[in-house]
Amino acid sequence: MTNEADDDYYGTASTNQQHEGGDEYTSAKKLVQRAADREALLKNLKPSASSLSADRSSSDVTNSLSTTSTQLGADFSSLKLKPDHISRPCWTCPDGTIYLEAFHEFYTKAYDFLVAISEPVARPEYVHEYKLTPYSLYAAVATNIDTESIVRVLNRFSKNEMPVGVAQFIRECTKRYGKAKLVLKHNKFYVESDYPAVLRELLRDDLISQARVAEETSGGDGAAAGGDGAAGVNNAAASGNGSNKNADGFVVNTKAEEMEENLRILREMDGDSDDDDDDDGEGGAQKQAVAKTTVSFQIKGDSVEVVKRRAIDLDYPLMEEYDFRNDKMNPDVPMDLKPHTKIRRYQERSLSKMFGNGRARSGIIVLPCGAGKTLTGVTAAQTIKKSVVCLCTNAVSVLQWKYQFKLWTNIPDENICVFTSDKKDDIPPQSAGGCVLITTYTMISFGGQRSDKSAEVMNQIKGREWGLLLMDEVHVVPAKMFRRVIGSVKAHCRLGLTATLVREDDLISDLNFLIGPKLYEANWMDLTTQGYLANVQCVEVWTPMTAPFMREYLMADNARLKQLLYVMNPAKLRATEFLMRFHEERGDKIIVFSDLVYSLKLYAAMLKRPMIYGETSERERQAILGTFRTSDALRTICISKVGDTSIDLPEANVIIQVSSHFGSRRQEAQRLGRILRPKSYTQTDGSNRSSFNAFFYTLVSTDTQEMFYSTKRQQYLIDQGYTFKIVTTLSEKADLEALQNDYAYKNAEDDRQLLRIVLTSDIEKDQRAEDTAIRKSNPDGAKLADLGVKRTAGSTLAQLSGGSGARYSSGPRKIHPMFAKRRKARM
Amino acid sequence: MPPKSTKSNQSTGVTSPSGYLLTCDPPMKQFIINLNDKKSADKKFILEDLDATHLLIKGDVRDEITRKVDEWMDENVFSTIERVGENLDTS
Repeated sequence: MTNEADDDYYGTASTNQQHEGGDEYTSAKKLVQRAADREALLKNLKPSASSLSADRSSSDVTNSLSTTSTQLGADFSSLKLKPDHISRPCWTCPDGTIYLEAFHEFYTKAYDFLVAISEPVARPEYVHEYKLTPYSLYAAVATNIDTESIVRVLNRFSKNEMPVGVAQFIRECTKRYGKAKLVLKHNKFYVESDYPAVLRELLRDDLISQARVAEETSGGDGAAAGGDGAAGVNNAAASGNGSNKNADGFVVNTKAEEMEENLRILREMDGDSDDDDDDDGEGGAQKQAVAKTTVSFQIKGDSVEVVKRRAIDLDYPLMEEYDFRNDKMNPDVPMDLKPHTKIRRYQERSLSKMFGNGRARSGIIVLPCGAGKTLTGVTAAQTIKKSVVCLCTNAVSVLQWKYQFKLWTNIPDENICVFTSDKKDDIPPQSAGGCVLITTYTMISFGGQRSDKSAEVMNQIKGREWGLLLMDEVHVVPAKMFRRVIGSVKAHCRLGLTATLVREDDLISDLNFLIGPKLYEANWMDLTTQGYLANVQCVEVWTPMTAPFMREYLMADNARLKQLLYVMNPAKLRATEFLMRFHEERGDKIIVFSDLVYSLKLYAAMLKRPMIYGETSERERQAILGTFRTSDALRTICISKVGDTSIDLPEANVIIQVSSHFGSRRQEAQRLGRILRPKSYTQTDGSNRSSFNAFFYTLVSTDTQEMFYSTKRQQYLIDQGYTFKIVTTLSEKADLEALQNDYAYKNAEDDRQLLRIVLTSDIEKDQRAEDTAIRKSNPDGAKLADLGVKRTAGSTLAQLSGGSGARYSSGPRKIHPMFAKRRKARM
Repeated sequence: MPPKSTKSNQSTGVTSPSGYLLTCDPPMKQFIINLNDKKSADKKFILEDLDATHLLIKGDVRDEITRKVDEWMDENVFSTIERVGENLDTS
């Protein structure tokens, strides 16, 4: 019986392979559209609300006011404050924006709640801004927070009377999400819901009722899976203490309890505010006390996709949960965390969101660079203990992941395999237990002709059932590639990891439905104050353009030359040398970043420090990095954009950024990530938490486009609470020092010579060479490097989403007739 | 900084045009020279290039220069107000 179900399952996997990814994609699109509609609802509510509250003479005025208000911030002075507003931490505005006082005594409680139900927009030091969106509410219901609790708790935290529109919006958004779940239990698919009415409505649909499997026995499948994850992920899971059927023939089970920690946020304020709304609090407490039951019906394994699609059409999107503890079909991976592995509080919290009710739900976890994303991923994998496909951006990070798996867990060598362009391990057979497969996005999604070996491995991947699909740096994956990945890896649960969920080409909202909602987002500033991240001082150094460079800059007609001129600005050169000397004296480790290879070479020559760029040979690269890591003889290295994607950069505590990729916020955040890990040689316990132990300098030539890009790049970090200090006088100091200490470029004559060299050189050649070199040295990362880093100002949406990725284009190639004949013969 | 006005005097034989003394920093001076270079010969407005931070210009272009400089300055300023819906990775 069970075997049959299993076969069915595989049947779907193979027949639907081609289309499935596409189907999921169109379904996701539908959901995105619906979310957008709901969001519009909130916007439309606003004018009516304001016209109610204020007596405006004509509706035109209201309209014009409300349109301008979206840009300049709205006037919410008409909102009514509650009498005891001082003891409440939030402001709730009619447009769905919530402001949280970070200095308030209930900050932490309100924070946990707001992070669960809304999207953090900006989190500077004192007042945080959050926004309620359909996605965030979707994420909230996905973690078992019900509609009325959201409204009730939000109202409790709010200083002002909650606007009617907001409550309406919350109800509208959560009315249908999360009401029905698709649960994979004992290798059978169940549609489960707290509300029998929802199931009845679903069953009214022909396709769904056809897919239903009539329940024959009411046998107790009460395998109470009380869990204690070795990871400290405490699961209060009681999945079904004996099931029985109700009048509709639904299987009735006791509800899988959401773990205490996740629900605490809804209750904690009870004690504090029971003077005025104790009836609410009471109700909530009672609700919790009554054991909830769920109803479910089983559906056929081969019509899961149909049911999922129909459910979306009926606007009851099914949330998928994977009851991995009761999955007896798929072999376990023999791995456990080693005893020395320590999970930090925020990692535990993020995982507790994922395994909230003893089952695994799909979603995205956002943690800053250097905060231990890999360990979070590894812990998730070992909690599920089923076969895992782990996807990384390039071959180097594949090896890093493998290393981390072995570092934190006791997984045997034969159960972990790597699949990259130069290393293709065999996947162990099912009988040998599950395995952890680490590979790259490009390897999985590659559409062209594969080598025999790689095709064989791919078939194994496709023909298998995976417990978890772990996706590292999920924000870089282009939509198209993503679709292929989902089409070929059949996983019960998907976990995306990223540091910077910024990307607004359609994909981020798609991710909400393709992977799952954002389960957790850490607050950078909190991690900094807790000492998990280095305390970084961000500095923007303004360097004025010198007159000759400015003249050429103004006359230059192409962007490349303009860029070169503002990067090579002699004032900047001097400032760099000044900063390097200063920090080397302090005993810091410094990385100088330059995107332009030409200028990188010149900077390295000027500073007399080694550099790493695309063409640097592997051995040289290792030698340089080795010296930099281990000895004090080398304190500074210069790195081109290869450092962004392709190589494993060492940790440092000072970054000097002389040129960058236009306005890419992600690059800025990634580079900052290089110095975020607290350093042993700068770290002191508690004594100097407040003082800065890492420095991030961006050198900017004033009065050029660089000013624009620089400010733009900083936005993401500013929203995370970082402040950029602008220094305008450093350049003058550097000029003086240059004369005194004999810098490489110290006077006007040096500048003129530099300008002459710059104007006569072929910069394009260097840049092209760099790009080819990046590709050669790292084929896996190349496509992503193209997509992620090399974008220029004029790219279209298609290019951005990978539509024109040239790396693996399979257009017609010219083949010599002889070979063409041979190929034909072989076929 | 506002250009300082200098009184030009009408002497008897020779006619000298009226002008402004313009004080600015070196990059700005380059910008203004660049504006001047783009004009046709009869429209040139720089009367005298004095030193690294000073120019003598014709009086009638004062408004034009102020406007152009303002525009130029705004060009390189990133404003967060236009952030809604724009692409995060390019330009």
